[in-house]
Amino acid sequence: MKFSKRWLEEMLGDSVELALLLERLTLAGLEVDGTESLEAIDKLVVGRVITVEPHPDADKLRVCQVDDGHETLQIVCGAPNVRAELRVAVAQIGCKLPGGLKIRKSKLRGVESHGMLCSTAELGLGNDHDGIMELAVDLQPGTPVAQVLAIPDTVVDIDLTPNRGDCFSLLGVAREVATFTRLPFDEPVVAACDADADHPFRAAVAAPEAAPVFTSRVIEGINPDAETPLWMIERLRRSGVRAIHPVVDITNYVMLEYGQPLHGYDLDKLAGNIDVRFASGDESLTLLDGKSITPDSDTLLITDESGAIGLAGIMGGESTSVTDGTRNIVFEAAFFAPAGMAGKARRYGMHTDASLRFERGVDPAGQVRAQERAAALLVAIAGGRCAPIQVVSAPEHVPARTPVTLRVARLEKVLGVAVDHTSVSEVFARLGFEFDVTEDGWSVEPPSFRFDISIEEDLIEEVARVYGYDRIPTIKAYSQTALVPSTESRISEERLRDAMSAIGYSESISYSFVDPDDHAALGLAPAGPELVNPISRELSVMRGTLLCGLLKAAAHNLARQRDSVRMFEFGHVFSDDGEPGKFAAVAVGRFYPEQWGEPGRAIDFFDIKSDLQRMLALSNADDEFTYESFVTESLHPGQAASVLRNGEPIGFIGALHPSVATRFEIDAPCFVFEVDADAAFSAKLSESAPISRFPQVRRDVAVLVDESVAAGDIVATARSAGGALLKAVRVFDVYQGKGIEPGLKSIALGLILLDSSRTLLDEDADRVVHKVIDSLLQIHGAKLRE
Amino acid sequence: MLSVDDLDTFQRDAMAAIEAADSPAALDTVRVELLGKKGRLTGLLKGLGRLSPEERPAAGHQINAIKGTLAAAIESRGAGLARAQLDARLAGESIDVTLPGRGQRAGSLHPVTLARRRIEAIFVGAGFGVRQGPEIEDDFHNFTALNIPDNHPARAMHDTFYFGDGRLLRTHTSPTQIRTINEEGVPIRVICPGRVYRCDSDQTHTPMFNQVEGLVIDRDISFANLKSVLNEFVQQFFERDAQLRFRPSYFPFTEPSAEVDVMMEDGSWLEILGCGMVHPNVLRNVGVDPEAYGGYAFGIGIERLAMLRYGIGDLRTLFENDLKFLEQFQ
Repeated sequence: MKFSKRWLEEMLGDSVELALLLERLTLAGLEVDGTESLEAIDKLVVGRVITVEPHPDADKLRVCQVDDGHETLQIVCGAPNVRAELRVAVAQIGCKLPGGLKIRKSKLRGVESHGMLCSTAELGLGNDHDGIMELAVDLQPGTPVAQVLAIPDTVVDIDLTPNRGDCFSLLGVAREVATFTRLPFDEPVVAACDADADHPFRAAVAAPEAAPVFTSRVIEGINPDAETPLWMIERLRRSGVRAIHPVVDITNYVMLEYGQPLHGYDLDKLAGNIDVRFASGDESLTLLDGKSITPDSDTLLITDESGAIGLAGIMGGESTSVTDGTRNIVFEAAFFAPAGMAGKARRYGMHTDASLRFERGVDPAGQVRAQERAAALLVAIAGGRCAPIQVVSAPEHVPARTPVTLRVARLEKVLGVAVDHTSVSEVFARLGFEFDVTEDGWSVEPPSFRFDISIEEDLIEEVARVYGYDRIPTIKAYSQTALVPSTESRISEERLRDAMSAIGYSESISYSFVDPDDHAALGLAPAGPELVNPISRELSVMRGTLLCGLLKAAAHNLARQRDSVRMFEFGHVFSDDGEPGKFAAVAVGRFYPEQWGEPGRAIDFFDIKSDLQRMLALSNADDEFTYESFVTESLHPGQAASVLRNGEPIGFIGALHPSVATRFEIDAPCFVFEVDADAAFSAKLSESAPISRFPQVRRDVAVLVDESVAAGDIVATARSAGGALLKAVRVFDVYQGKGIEPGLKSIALGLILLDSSRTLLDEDADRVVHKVIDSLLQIHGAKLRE
Repeated sequence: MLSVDDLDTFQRDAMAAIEAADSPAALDTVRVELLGKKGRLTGLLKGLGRLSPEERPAAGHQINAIKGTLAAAIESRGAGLARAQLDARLAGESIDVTLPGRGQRAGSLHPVTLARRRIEAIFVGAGFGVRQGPEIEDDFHNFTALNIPDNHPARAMHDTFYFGDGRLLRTHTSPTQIRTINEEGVPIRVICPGRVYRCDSDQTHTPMFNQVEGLVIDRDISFANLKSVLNEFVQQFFERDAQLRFRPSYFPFTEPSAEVDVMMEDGSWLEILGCGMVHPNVLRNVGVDPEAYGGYAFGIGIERLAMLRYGIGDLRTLFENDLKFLEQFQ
């Protein structure tokens, strides 16, 4: 909420230094969002236009003689609205306007000009460039315009928390400032207007639970030509409200001043009396902003005999709005129950100043005061005769003010400090709360505008707030805590992050929601649920794979002169069944960064496979992982594998299919993997076995097999045939080409043999090697290569 | 005839030959020539027989002494030659040690990870457990259980992403706290890090960000304890004597509530977290008696702390995944 500091000071009845004001607002919990200062302007005075003559050499310019209270100035002016007897803002020679323009004596098309007549825009007060500002005709020439405009001033913008609806007004802010600066403050008293007019208009409330207080007042015979005075326009403007019509401006002004929204109806456009009732569900209503809606049946309406004429507490209707010719009006000031208002403005997409205040709650005792204030302002500005205020109220639906108890013991327990009892009583007094001191604390009756106070904690907060959070000490809590559990049955994500970073991968964090088209094009996993209200289509479905984001990241970096990209991410993916954690990586470009002594080569499948294997090896269960050829549309048909653990698929690894890579704007072979984090990284506890004192023996075997036979199968066969003495099988060469029959390949295995209880004999080793060879021959049709 | 002079001459010549040997091979030739089975020293020994019995012992003694001297000289010369040869080889193996090392470059860790680890480490050290929960939540855990009933104005503070079935993306990690109390009961002392989402995207807001929320519930927990723990946390996180300001604020799930500002080097205040005493309605919602138990809760935006700690100026760079940015963080 924005407000003028000078307006606040008028409400406070005292001036407050700006820095102090901002500090106290902050300590009261009214967060200051910002300030804007309106500087005084020297050599800017009220002038009276004496004569206006055409310019001899310019159609659009006029030569004016202007009385500035001291002398008569000749000023050339181009504004269409300049005319004799107008009171204008004259920038005299030497005046510096807020935009930086300095006024000098000048000649416009040969005619001397000794100053400038200013528009509101030139004074930094608005955007109206169309004409010069017209000041009140009763102003004395020579009066400083700063005085007329009430500058200098500071506009303060505060951010109100939802519990402090009472501060949505100058009155509410003034109360808080008074409390926190210890200034005396008296609630403003508004004198009742003479109410001698009589009019048959009446209002009824068919839904008293939703409108527990509804007041209305007819004011007849206002001057349709009346204009809103500059001081009010300025105060409204500094509060961010545009002046429209005196009646509307007054309702806004009183709302800003006292926090009570009002609405003004053109009495002559009303069809009979007003009834406040819920919508039928099938009636439509055109609102002030021109929008037509059909309110739901849980929505409160203001109606007349013709039907709906307003959305209660949100916005009035077009049909009964005040306009330039309006002479007779009805002011409405109501207390609409917050529970009924909640969510309605959002539902209809109409957040208004009124709806905001009603949702958070207005003072249920403030309607009559607001009516009197509005009537007094209207009569002063536009004349008119007031009828009495009609009050329709249902006391049983008005929030009851029940006393709230605060126990000393509870206060001390929650705050952790003993606040002396006089200080607490003083806090309540400063807040204007009525209270009794009881045996174990206080019984407090908050005023009607502090409807947020209903439980003991509310009072504790008030005490802490006014007493000062800074005065509450810091005390260490000593509580018994269990030791934090630590597990070795799962590799920690932090260790994996460190390991990936150590081997050259950068960690990325991408949004959990992605572009459904990208995700579908990638096709590696079904996308997760779709957002109803995404930021944009590009961020509208939950990812089913981390690779969508990683590939985007890779493309982003490749487009920025990177010759290689290695990135990984840990995160959740989403489906209707849950949100499993995944670990994924992408690698594209050079294997080594450019360096001396290493020929450049591109990353290939076995590089990224090695990286994945090193991570999986941390699980201490290397032999549980296997790889099977995997054919899927998104991956290279010959360079992709499922990753299995104990035979169960836990992820995949492979080269991205070139057509998919192109879709993601990646034009080099791109390798990816993604594994399920839970399945991949559950770990076996490390277990020490005795180290054999006996030497190991290595025997090499080379076999020829059909090129379609997988090396993984060869190794698996060798291992199972080798038995306990075969400790490891290493593939040390794979060869196709010269000397090998086409369609076949040579695979060379190093068999590592060891007996942990004795030195292995040649014949033992020979026996194992023969068993391995026999199995390879039988199972894979292998031939021994000589 | 073997005379003392002859022996002296022999020794002098032999020593000169040893010194003159300029390679291990030449030295070996000299050694064989002097000390070998058919060497000159052997010849001298054989010549002893031609001496008179009186002369024999002295000459024998002298020859043995010469033998020892020559053997030592050969060994010493040999070591010297080997050393010189090694030195020569090593001299030829010189490299430019200022050339960069070869191999893979180091990767990097995301600054959000770095900041989260710091936060976790500090609280884990103080006995807090770390708990995770789902990112797609239901209305009850994200709002209702946290004292934000339907249509509560505070819901407007959370621009929430919804799914068609009424579920939503959690707007804070507080629902994990609710789940944790339901599973583990009280007393409790946990932090809940994780991704959270708000339907807001501009220069200072990203629709996804990361939070760590903390919760302590026990029999005797006060606002003074909350001030203490956050004060210590901030000092430790920034490794400096940072001044804090607790400002009254409002969260539906805490009362009293505060926002906490830290004083920057230029004397201005910057908001870094929100906190408060757990609202009695929240305790009741998880079946805890607010008369018997109380507690505090706090919520820390990890990005904000990462930005402050590592001097990151623009929030949005955190999720652009530009390697030039990411590689600055180790």
